[in-house]
Amino acid sequence: MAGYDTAGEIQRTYISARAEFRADPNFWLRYFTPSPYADVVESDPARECAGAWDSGGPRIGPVMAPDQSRLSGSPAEGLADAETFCAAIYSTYTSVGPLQTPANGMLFCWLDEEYSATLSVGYWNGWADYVAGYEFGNVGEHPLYACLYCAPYSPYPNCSTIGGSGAATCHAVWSSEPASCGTLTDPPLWHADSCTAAPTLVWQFGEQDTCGYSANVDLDVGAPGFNTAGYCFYLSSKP
Amino acid sequence: MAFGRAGSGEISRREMLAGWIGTTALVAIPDLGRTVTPASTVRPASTAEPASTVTPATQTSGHFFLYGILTPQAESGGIQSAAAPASRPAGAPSGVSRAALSPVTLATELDAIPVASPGHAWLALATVATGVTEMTGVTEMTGVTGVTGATTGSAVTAGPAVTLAIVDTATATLARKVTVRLRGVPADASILVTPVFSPDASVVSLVLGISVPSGRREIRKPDPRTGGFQAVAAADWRSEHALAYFDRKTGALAGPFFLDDAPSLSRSTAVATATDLFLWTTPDPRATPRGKSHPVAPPMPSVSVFPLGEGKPRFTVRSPGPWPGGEPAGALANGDAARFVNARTLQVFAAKDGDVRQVTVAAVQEGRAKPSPVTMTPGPDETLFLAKPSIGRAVIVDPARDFAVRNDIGFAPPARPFGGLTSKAVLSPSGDLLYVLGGAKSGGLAVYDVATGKIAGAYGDGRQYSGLYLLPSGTLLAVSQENPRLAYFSPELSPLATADTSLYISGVY
Repeated sequence: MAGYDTAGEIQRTYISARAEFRADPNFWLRYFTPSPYADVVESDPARECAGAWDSGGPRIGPVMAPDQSRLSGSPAEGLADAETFCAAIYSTYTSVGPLQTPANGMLFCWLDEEYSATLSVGYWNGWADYVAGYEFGNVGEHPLYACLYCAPYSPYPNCSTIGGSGAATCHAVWSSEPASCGTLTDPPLWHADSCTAAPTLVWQFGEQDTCGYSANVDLDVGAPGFNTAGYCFYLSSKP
Repeated sequence: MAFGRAGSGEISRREMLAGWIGTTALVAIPDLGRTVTPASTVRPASTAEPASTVTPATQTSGHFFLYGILTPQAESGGIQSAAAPASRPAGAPSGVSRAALSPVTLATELDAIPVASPGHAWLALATVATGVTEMTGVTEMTGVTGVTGATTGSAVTAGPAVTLAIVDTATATLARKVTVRLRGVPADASILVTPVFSPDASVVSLVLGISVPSGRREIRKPDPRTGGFQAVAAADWRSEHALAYFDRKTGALAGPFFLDDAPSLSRSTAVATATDLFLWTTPDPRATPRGKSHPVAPPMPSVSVFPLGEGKPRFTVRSPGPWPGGEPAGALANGDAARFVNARTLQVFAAKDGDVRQVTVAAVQEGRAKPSPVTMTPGPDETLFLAKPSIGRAVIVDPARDFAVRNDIGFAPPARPFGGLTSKAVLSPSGDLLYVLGGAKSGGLAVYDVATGKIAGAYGDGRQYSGLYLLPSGTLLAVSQENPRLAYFSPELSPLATADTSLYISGVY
């Protein structure tokens, strides 16, 4: 069951994606603040969620892509980014009535580390610890789980950081390599590059520029036996 | 902050085993200066294209600085494994010695990403200490080690202390250091420090995001790996902001001024003009009662404008989104401020009343599936230079002419436009030439004539670089992912030298 990730607004993106792939996605992975180089969901969450509903893929997972130089920063940098990220997720949740947390109580939250970026233990711990302990709505729920998007075999520190002694728990890795391409309904057999420090559960098998997609989407699929959509927000009705 | 030994770039094995590997470091490297030569020509990419004339920079004694994380390679070869040029082709400038390029580890364990002043004459470094005795006041620093000089003030204890160090980039020595004591703030608070230079670098504003934990506890959460439960440490964090101002010339410190804006998100965006500090902040949405039965729109950010040196804003107004979070921002020549949001829209804020105007720059509207980093830096004649490598576009817009596009240059996007170092396209000092990373197929570097938008030269060696910088001497520095990570080029794109470093580089200043 494949889905999309995109830096554009879902309501502006899904029509071209549907025209290109002639199918509905299983989920959307979307950027939330602080992602300074992308449209962000919480700017207009109701329209974004309505777009997801109309796309036929009413599941949204949150991604955060800060300026990549920050990833090598201090715990305070990581905590500050996580604070804004969690606030954006929570604010979106409380802005859209039909938007629900996953039935299993586990919302995977992704930190975007691109190929040439360096992730420090300090930043990761500041970020991941805050995400893990974030109380949702002051009602005793802590549904957020810290996860990492990265290229596991990049020469830069990523898997080694989250696998280091004293590193905060990373619950899942979303691998950006290899870009094997494929389509929404015909993804390649699972052979994502993987980390040993955490289970690699999602694979970006189709990267727009590498695979020549015209729609502003990358294509993603869960590992065998893993249902990515089950760890995303879901919409119970159209907003 | 720990400072390296003067004149030595090496850190002992004992120090490395004590935990240096994997920590952040700032390394100073002498610029690869060039002797003055007559105007030379840029090698055309093809014989059909005319050559452009450039004037090389003159000899300089400045430095540039690498910021990043120490690699495991340091264990066998020292922190700087091979500082001298590994190659120098025939015809390259002479006089580049191993000693001349020896790096100095200036600082480690910084708590904030370094910030360069406009013009790059100064570099601001910040650290935070908690629960220790500190001297308040100003210290004049005379050496790289920072252990000499006179300190005024008195010893105090308790409360986090933020130390700002100002480095003279010409000499790579500490010029000033000041400590700001945050009295009344718990020692376990998280302090986010953002130094902001005024346009003439005379004043350094410190924006402090102060996050205080309470209600520390252990919670039980479902464990997706085992299906059981796991114990997780949790706390309730509440954030606010404070400001301090450091006069670089007189050494005077004003503040800290607590803004009484709790609870707000500690991440902010700040811009200093000659007279004001613009500060964008966002209220914490948990401050407003919310529930699924009565949805509430996300909070809007606000922008406050403070006279430099003061803790009370002249005014605070709502700002259109998105929330501040690292977007490019800067001061305009007329005293207004601008930020570039969503990688496509310029928001201009009036210094008089905060009135905001959103400007669409059509040339950089295109988006991609991945976030498309954009740089916004000062251009020639008080213009703005915008570069968006993911779509292969760079433009110069003129604020004095209603942000009209003065130049629009298209180029082949590099192989990896999204990650790593943000700087992948730079203007020559005169603004006549645009240097970019080479296209995905060719790698290397390319140069374009800004006036015509045509390619004026290229150099391809099969390497894919991840960042490109113009050093004070006019030499180009290209950064790649594996050693030799540093490659120097002349303004004509002739390779000058390469060098190794055992830093994973995340910033060049």
